[in-house]
Amino acid sequence: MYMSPHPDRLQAAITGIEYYLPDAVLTNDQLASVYPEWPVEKIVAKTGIRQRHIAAPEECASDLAVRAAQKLFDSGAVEPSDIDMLLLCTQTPDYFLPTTACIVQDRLGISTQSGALDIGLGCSGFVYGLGIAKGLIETGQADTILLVTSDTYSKFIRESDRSVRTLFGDGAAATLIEAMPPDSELYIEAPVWGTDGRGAPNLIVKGGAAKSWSGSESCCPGRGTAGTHPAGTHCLEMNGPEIFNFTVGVVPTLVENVLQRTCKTMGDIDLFVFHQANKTLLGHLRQKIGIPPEKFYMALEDCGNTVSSTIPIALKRARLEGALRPGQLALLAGFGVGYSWAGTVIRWPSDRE
Amino acid sequence: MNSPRSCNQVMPKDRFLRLIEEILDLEPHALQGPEWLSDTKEWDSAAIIDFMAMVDTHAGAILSVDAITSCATYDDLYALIES
Repeated sequence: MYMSPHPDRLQAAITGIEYYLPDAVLTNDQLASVYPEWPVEKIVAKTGIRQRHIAAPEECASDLAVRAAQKLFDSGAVEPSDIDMLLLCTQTPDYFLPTTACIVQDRLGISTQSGALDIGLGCSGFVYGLGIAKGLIETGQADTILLVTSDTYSKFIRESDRSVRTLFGDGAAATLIEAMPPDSELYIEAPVWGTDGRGAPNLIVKGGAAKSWSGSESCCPGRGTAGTHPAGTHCLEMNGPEIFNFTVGVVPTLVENVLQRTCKTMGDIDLFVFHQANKTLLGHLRQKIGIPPEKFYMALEDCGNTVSSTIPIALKRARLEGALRPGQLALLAGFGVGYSWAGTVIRWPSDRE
Repeated sequence: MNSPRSCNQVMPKDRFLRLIEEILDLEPHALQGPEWLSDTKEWDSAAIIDFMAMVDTHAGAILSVDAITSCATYDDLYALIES
């Protein structure tokens, strides 16, 4: 058993998760009417997804984030005034600036004495957020951290692009990470990180940011020449086969490295919770790594791939269904856009009295 | 972790074609090998991913996407995994 190297130090632990999915849904029936070559059952067979939630036109990442966090506050897990750090992971921020976390801090009534920052990662972002929260808590920089993941990829998706429209859904999750009394075991292990920017072109939205304003053109009329974005550059582009190869090449090694770092075996892990990309990829990874089906959690049928929120949504559902009980260990693996990946093991703490 | 297996041991051409037919939802023995990939409307990016997963499972090989997309026929795909 891996013992804490600092048994007298406060430890970070996940003590609550809530999530929010927008009201509107995009069903396979609707998609099949647009893409007749992909009937309803074929979409399910390929993706494992029956519907995705889609943010309203005026609904942005901050709105989803506020709804998810409000559910966490309403659950009684924590008060806004208790939060001393807000981490917001999104790749669909409301604005270039200000930071979406600052907007959410104000809307939630979190103290102005708290810190707030955005994390600009996608499918690996939740595990990165856990690692950052652990570092802040265990070095005494924060006690009560709200980690919100929120994305509205639907705003970047062409109606004609079947490959991504069938996969992605919008959603947000709010995860409470608190300082726990020193214990002999860790609640959140130090993550294993990974990055390979050579994969950047394979999952990308090219337009909208500074790179898409060529030469001396400026996007700010009055300062320079107002440029125009080439049509379609704000759309999500995904090279599915390249993403598959990246994932199959990286994730088995990530799992191996996480087990090695935490001195655990496959048998020690009670539940494997991977980023919920799609059924084909997850099924292949499960078989390749040799994870028994009963230990491999899937939670995307009714919400699709919600990017940075898939892992906390799956953890919440696993906890509610009893698939993850207090004291049990879950191995988390996030991987995708960047390329970026990270993995860790968490121990679910005892329920509060 | 599952260990890779030799392609030649587990993937004779007939088996390869039947697996491709399953991926593409084609009737058994619909393919002989010389058919053009571009003539099969079911051969799309999702099918390519299924194909890559099949090759990894049955042959323990991860194929490059460039190599796959440079193939013109099913025979070319088979030659790819045979090599």
